[in-house]
Amino acid sequence: MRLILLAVLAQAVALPEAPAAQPPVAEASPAVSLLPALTMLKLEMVDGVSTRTTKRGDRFAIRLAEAIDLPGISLPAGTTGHGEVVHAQKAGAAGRAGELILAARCLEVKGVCLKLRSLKVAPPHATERSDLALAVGVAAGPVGFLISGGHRDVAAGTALTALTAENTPWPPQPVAPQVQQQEPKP
Amino acid sequence: MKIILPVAAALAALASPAIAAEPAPVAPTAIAAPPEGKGQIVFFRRGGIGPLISCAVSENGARVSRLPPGKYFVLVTTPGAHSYTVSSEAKDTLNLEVEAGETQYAKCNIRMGIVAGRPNLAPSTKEEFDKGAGKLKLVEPEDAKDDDKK
Repeated sequence: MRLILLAVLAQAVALPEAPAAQPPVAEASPAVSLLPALTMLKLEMVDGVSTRTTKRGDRFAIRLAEAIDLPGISLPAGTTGHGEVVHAQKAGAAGRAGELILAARCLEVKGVCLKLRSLKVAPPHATERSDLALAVGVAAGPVGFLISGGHRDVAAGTALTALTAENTPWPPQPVAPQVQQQEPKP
Repeated sequence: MKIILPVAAALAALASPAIAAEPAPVAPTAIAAPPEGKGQIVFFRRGGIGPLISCAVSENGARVSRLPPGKYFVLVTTPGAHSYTVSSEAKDTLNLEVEAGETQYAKCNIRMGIVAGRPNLAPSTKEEFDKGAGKLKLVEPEDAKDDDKK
């Protein structure tokens, strides 16, 4: 009996070891597409903006006019976003023209902001008549103040261009909110 | 036909001196790109009206430079929002958003005022700056000095 038991034990010891756990094979991650910074986007105004009514900090709607189709990246025309009024000044007395500076901020892609920069707007500047007003002022005194400069309008549908502000993995991922760690109070 | 050809030749001969007399186009003033990670603003002022009115550009109350008529200067600065002012009997402010690697343009002109002319700082373009090609000169260090107490 003892012999049998010893033989069984010896067999058990002689059993080949279970294969050692192999290090997990890294799964082949899908190639991440990247929308490069400074990619030019053709946009258009959805809202009209005018120095008659707008003020600094106002937002206006924009949308993508031409789709972006790059390997692994598809951004359809009509994707909406917004811009912001950086500077606005109404046309005024003495020939002062309206002043307007707009900035592109974001295109909304699946709820994530695709950051934009370098907005270019096509339309000409507002008419400035300050020289005329000054000349009239010299000739006819305060009448020169009555000459008003032109307003600056950027109508809905106006063509714009902007650039992507940063390299963006595609599809864009929401940025996790940063949690500030509080130091323990003494 | 025999009559038309000499007439055309005579007209061409009359027109050619006029064409030759056109001034050669002046090359635009070359503005170098800003340093890496910076943006820049070209402030300029054409000559003409209000030569005695100061157009001193400030940011946050600190003098950046003066702009005498027919001069320009280039301000290299950090990307982001900036607010520049010119003032005489009234203050005028221009808000800009500077972007890295980009050059923006701002012009100063003089408008009619009650007591004196009012400087006005307004957004501009490279095309507008280039129109004054060959006429605009860089602000000299002595021009930029804080010589008026406005």
